[in-house]
Amino acid sequence: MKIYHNLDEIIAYFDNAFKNSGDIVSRKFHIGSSLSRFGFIIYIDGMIDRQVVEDRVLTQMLASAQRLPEHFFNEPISLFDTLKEGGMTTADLKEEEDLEKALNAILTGDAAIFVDGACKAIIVSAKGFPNRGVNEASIEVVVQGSNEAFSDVMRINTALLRKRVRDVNLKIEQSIVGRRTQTNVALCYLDDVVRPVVLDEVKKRLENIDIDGILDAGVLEELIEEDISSPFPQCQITERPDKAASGILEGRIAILVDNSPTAILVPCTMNSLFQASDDYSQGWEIMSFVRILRFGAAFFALALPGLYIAITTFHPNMLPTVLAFKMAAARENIPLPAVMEVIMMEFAFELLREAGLRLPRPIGSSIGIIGGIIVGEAAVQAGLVSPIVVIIVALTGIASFAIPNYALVSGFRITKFLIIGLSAVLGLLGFWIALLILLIHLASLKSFGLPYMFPFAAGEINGFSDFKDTLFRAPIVFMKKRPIYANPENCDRQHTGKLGNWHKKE
Amino acid sequence: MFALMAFNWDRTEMEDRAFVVTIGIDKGEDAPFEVTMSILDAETMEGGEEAPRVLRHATGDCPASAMGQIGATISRSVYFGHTKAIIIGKGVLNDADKMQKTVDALSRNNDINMRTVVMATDKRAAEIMEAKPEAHQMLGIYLAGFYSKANTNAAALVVKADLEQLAADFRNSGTTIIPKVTLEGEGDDAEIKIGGVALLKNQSLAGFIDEEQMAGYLWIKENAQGLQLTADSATIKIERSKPKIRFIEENGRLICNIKVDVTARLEAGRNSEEAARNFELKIKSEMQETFRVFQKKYTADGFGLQEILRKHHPNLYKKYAKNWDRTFAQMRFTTDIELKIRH
Amino acid sequence: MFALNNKISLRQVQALLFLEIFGFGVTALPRRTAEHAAQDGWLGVVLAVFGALLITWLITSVVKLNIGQTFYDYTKKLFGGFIASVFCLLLSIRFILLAAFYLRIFAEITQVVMLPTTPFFVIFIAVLSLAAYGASKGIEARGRLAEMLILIVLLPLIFVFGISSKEIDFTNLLPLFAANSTEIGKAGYQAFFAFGGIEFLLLISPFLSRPKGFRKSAMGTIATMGGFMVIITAVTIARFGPLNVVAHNWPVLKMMDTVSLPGSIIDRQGALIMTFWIISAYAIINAALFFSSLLLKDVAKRGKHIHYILLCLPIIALAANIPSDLDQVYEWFNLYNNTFGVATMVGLPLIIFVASMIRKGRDKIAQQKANI
Repeated sequence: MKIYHNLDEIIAYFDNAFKNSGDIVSRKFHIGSSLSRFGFIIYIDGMIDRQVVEDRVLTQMLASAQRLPEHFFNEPISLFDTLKEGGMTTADLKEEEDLEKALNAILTGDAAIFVDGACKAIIVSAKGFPNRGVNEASIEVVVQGSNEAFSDVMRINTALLRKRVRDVNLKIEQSIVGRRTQTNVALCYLDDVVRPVVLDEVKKRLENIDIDGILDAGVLEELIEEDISSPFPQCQITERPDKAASGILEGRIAILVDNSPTAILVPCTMNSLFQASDDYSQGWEIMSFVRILRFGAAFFALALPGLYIAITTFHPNMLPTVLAFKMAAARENIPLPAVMEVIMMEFAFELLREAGLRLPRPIGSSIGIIGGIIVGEAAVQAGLVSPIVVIIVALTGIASFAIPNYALVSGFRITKFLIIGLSAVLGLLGFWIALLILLIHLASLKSFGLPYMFPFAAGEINGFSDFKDTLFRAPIVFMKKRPIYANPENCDRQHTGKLGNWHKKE
Repeated sequence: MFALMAFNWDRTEMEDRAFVVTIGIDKGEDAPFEVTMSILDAETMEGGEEAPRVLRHATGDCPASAMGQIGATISRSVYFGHTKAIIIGKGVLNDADKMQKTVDALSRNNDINMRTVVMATDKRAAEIMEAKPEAHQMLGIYLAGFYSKANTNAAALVVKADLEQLAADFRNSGTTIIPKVTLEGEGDDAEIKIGGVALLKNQSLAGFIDEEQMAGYLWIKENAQGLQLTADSATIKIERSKPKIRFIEENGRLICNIKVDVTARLEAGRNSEEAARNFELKIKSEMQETFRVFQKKYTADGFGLQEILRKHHPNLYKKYAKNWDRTFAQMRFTTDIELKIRH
Repeated sequence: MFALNNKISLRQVQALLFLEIFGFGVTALPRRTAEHAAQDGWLGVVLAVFGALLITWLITSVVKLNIGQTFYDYTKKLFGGFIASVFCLLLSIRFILLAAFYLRIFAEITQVVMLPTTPFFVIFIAVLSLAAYGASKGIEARGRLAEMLILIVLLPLIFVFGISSKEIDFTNLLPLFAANSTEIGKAGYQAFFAFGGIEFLLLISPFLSRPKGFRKSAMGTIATMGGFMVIITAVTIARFGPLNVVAHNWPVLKMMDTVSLPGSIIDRQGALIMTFWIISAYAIINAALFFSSLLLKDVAKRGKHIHYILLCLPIIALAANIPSDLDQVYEWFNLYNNTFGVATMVGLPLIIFVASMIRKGRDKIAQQKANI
């Protein structure tokens, strides 16, 4: 819709649009000394930096208009241009001819200035809405390395990425998703490294979305996932700019959603969910060890309760004799069957986890202590559960915290119950059937066309070089090729020469 | 969740299992078999002077049915997954048919580990099971532990038999040896003693051979590592011994030649040519003695020489296997010892 | 790769082939060969490997001549629609019965080793639904899964056999070459059927992402697998001796169960063994289900793949339930091998190979005539 010629029509339009909106600030004012021309400014209070608008824009514009010769006021177009070019001391200006777009701009926190008869608007971008600034990462904490986290404001987030990747090829493609929320979504990628197929696929899926609103990156994630029936995350969500930047360097696409302090990295494989960002900032020997530990932790978090049930209630002959006797003695006089015991304790643990999450932080930690230690101890003392089950459940819980990705842990938490259930019916047979169901599911899963279990399956499509960053983290100098995410035509990561003791060899 | 509880066919809680640690099999007074089981008593396991076990007896026409009988008398389900030792009483050893039934029943039971230790006794198995070994409160675990230790240190003169080997020997020749366990002393002071073997021929007991007469067996069949020998004033400890058995045909009878390479370390005394020769003579005489007992006293090939002949001398085997008892009885036995003593 | 293209790589073909054939092939192999050739049973396996390699050569030749086409398509081109349908039906019946036999044997093993009182139908339902779930995910997922499973299967196997070699009396294999050629031949004939499932290769053609090197990798897999089979047979016979190995239904199982792992917290290797058997059972039943339903769909020319999978499930379960005991299972299995087995493992590839060669020759002559 074109901007009306008549200023009063424009004012009427906005009055209608912002009916019952108390936070709208608008004013009609005279331009210049002659009282024949009017201007109109409108913005939303609180979303804008008032000082910029009042001092740098409005004051300056009116002052310069005073100096203009009379004839300018008869030609609204040239008056508009002169005011735009000479009247304002801010760089972030835009012309807009469409009234609806101007309305959207106001909604995102810009100020719009109209001049009677010009059929155009000046959009002054002086966003000044409240934000938290750059906070410390609280979920993906690292021992060594930057602790910056994404903020709620997309502009800050893109700046955090730019700050890390100073390459003209870093593209930040913005689009708007959400009929009502009009949320800005940005695709950040390296133009020459990203796989075009994946980029097209991501764009296609974003365009496909038609929804009232996106309030968080998690919502968007679910809308662009391949298989929504899967409990496993097919996109990697991170709150760390350095992780997003390293993903971008690998050729992945980081999707930023306005008002959401996280980035979505696509495509993703299960292996990349096991990688933490300080894996690369510490020695490869210790980090390889930690990686193995993490995969072991994943197995524990997933399978330990099921394995316990299968072995103790079906095949105690697999246990060493003395241990078996000890366990039998520990279960003496416990009223519940082992399955119920484990399920009960698992629920109690999940409950604690959820309660600890929702409670205010100072109380949260004490819930952990009360729940974990006191209730567990009391349950054992009362003879409700055997101490071994407490150990098993606690180990499962601890193991689940050793995995760096929260969404992945959630997947394991759910599937754990499938394994418990089948183990309780068919023992080890059930245990393996449940594991195989899981493996079949994982093998069939893809993330934006990339096999989820890569490189453990289909590793050869990148010449097995991705194995260098799986169970082991090879020294960085060995990772010559970019991972699978990168465009195969541009997959050289580094040409670092010989490392080592420089002065040793003359 | 309740569906989970409903669908169970094989699930048994740990505390609902009766862990059988030791099985004793005897000839019953009225019935052919009497089976004794030593079952873990988990409630008394933590601390306490009492051995954490209960003994149960049952009789039956075959060992399996007697074992089933016991299951009917207790509230828990009998579980053989952790059975550590099987003790066979004299009454059963004497009867080939009963032995066959016992081995059948035990090896058919899928829960029982085929590596379970089997022992013979010259008393009733139940008597042995009532005694309390000092080293460990559970007899079965004590016996099993004894053998796992003995694997690396043959200082105690033992021969191991497990269920698998017993079943295999019964299938092959019917001749086998089972280590002997017995009681020393009377009444409550009676102590478990392991030593000597029961020699079985044609699936039944030929006789018990005591420890001294079995001394040569280690040299002939196994590794005597860890054994201490004393002759004159010198003591040596065997580090390695390796027997090599050959057969030679001479005038229509077989000669069995055993050459043993022995490496030993001097523990005490002085090393001399003479001492070495004395040791050699001692080993030789031990071997000859054992062979004499097996050959002359019982005419039972407890060394498995027939198998060795089959493997390494198929032609001689074809000729002599038919009447192995006679061949074995007429066999001549020569020994060579090569002893190296290190300081 | 970056699309759902229903193609698998050669590596995945190899992994699938290995998983499908190896596990169940080897279960009873030492017993069945030792029954005929005593301690020389492993020589029979060697013989069988050469037979299997020959068949693989035939099958890969057929596949190479008809690359990218389904079995139904290329047999139709050679023999016409009716005979092609007959071939397809023959193969699918063969696969369904194969699945039924292996399902039954697996249930028997499970009952002996771990679940003594669980009814057969529960085990049938559990394993069949697992296999059907896997088959419904398509060839790509099967291929990727195979790549992962092969590690889970092979590493413990090599580990257990490596450990066990310490306590094995290899003199049990003596005297060498005592069996005469008939005995070894018989053992070889029995061992040959351990490669049952090699016909899956006939159907793999439309799924190959890159046909180059197909023969080499297929033959390589069969040869490696054969090597493993020879070693396992020899080790198992040596472990029990030729007389006792015959007394066990599944000597390999018994052997893996009784190996004592040093310093292990596991008293008996139930878990390790069950990994091996469950994955093997899954792999072969899944493959049989996948391919037989594919063939049925080709013949009927309508419907979805998943419908035919569901159709096959009850047939397999019922067929597996028929034999009254294990002896009958193996009796019928022998009969089945001598008829269906020979027909599809040897007959079918041979007929198709000869027909394709004749056709190729004719085409060449026609071409030459046209050129003149």
